[in-house]
Amino acid sequence: MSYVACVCFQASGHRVALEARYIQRIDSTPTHHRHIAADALLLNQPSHPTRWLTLRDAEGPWQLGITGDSEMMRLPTAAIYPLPPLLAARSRQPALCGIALEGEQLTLLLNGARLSPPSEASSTHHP
Amino acid sequence: MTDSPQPTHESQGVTFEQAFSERSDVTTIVDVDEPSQQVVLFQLSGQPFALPGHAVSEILKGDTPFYFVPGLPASREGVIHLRGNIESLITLQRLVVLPDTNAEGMLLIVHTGEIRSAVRIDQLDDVCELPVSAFKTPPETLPSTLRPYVSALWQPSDEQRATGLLDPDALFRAYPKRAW
Repeated sequence: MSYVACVCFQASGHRVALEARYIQRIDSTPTHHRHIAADALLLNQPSHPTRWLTLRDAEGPWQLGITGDSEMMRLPTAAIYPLPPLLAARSRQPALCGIALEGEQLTLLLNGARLSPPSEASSTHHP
Repeated sequence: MTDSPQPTHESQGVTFEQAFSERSDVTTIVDVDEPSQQVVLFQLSGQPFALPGHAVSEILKGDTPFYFVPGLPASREGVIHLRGNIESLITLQRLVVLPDTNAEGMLLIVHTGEIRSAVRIDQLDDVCELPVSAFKTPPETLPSTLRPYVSALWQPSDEQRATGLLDPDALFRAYPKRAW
């Protein structure tokens, strides 16, 4: 059975997964100027991140703040689906690329290559 | 009995077949199988609509579990898990500018060339065949909010409201472009 190695975390009550290959490291404090909380980036919700995932985009490294623990896991490819086209076209978050359904649990899949902090975001989490 | 009158043609006994043949103009079998179209009749916000039967592959119960997907416009949109596939679930009210009803209703699996989606309707009325000639071109007075999506009207009688036959291609083309 094939699988995708992911880092899973919670964002505003939703389970979210990023491919592990996009995450360079995980810190307990922000260490880069460019950082934003996942709740704010994905759902415009305030939060108090406790972990910071370091990713990289065209402008260099940046950090995504998450609340609570992250979890390394293997998502079986049989449980992974692309976002249906009608929803993909209307999503406000271009990085939302699919969903995984394991039993009754839905996981939102983010494309790490399309995830970036807003250009004006240098520190948008609520300390 | 040689002096008995010979029957004239008019009073000559004939068979049914001969009688029928003299009325061949009315006994000719007329083909009444005029072209028809299957339609799914339903209601949205109290208004009658229809979708072509060929575009509706399945009808599901309204309480089919669905999963909310965040980051989408504020309406009841998400996905359903249908026999190993994920289908989007959309409502049409906002697209055709009708009030939201939040009725559980039923779900239609609607497909066009490339796109397939579950569509929540308020109420399923019927699935039936209608003669193509029963569909009329939408009048100019049709509300502008419906005009892009209604390809024809069907009005069963003067007392009943006209049913708008929706064009699924037009709906799915417009859906991603509308912001609400």
